[in-house]
Amino acid sequence: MNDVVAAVLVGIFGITGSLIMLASAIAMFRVRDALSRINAFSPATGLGMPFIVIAAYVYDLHSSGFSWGSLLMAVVALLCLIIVSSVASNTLSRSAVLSGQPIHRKTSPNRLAQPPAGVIDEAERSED
Amino acid sequence: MNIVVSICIVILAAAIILGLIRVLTVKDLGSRAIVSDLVYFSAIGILTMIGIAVSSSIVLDVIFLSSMVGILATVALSRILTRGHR
Amino acid sequence: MMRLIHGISYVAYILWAIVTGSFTIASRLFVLREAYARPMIVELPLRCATDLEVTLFASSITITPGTLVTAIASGTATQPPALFVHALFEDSEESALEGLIAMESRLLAMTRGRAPRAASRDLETDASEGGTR
Repeated sequence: MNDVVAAVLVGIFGITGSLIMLASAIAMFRVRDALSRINAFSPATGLGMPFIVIAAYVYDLHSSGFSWGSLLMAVVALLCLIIVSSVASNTLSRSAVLSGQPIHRKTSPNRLAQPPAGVIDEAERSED
Repeated sequence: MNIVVSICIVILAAAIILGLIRVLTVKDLGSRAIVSDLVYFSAIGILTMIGIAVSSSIVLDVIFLSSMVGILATVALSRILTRGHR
Repeated sequence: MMRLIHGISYVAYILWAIVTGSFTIASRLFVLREAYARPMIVELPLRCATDLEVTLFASSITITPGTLVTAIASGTATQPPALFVHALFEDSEESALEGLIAMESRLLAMTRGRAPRAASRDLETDASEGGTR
């Protein structure tokens, strides 16, 4: 492909991805607690970084031609971003709850405020 | 190619600066952890764009490896938050 | 064969959910008059049974922008396992649970080969009859 098409494609994907990252950074100012921030962070890794990966792959396709290795690398990078960031968000939100980070007072309904039925084992308690 | 790459770098740098301001102004540690994660991914984006600007041939390798090891920083921060507890 | 078709449609559904959720998060930034988000934590009793289903479901909830898994309560003899989901932009608890249950039905159609019938109602009535709160 020629230079103009490559530059336009890299521009579309790169600028869209960067704007999503910027929107995610601005959303950090608009929400109030750690859980909402983890929630508002997922567009950055779910959509923004994949767009930047696609921009990098288009550039690679333009500069060094098609090869199966680079296609495999791009696909694995996309899957890793989506799956790995999801697992990382799970871990971080779990530890944020466990370590007692403050939850915004307007979170309603908050089903985590009291322990769910089943956590406190009734049979075990009656033995005490 | 240079113009679009410069625009991307400016946008990502704005995201990093906003994130650093947020790290300084926020009170609780969990928010600091997630905002530092955002700063990490924006830095990877800037690195990729610099690689495109200087016509490097290892752009894809950089973003491949960094997306795979990106979980390590988050998991380490979450272990620090709970003070070594799982 | 049916599982393959369900799997492809599930992946497409997740990708579309990522795109629309990101668009919601970005477009709500420009609404300055009202509050940005209505955070809530809802409790979702699971129909997923195996570890693979629970892991896939928790990951796909978290990767969808606007919903986030915060904790998992393990099941007991009387209760199914439950997920605690933090939602940002839902109107009410019922609409949040409705969207999550629709996603779960698609996931179970992929892993089991057919869509489950409405089994969550049965589980809930069983739990309320036999549970000792």
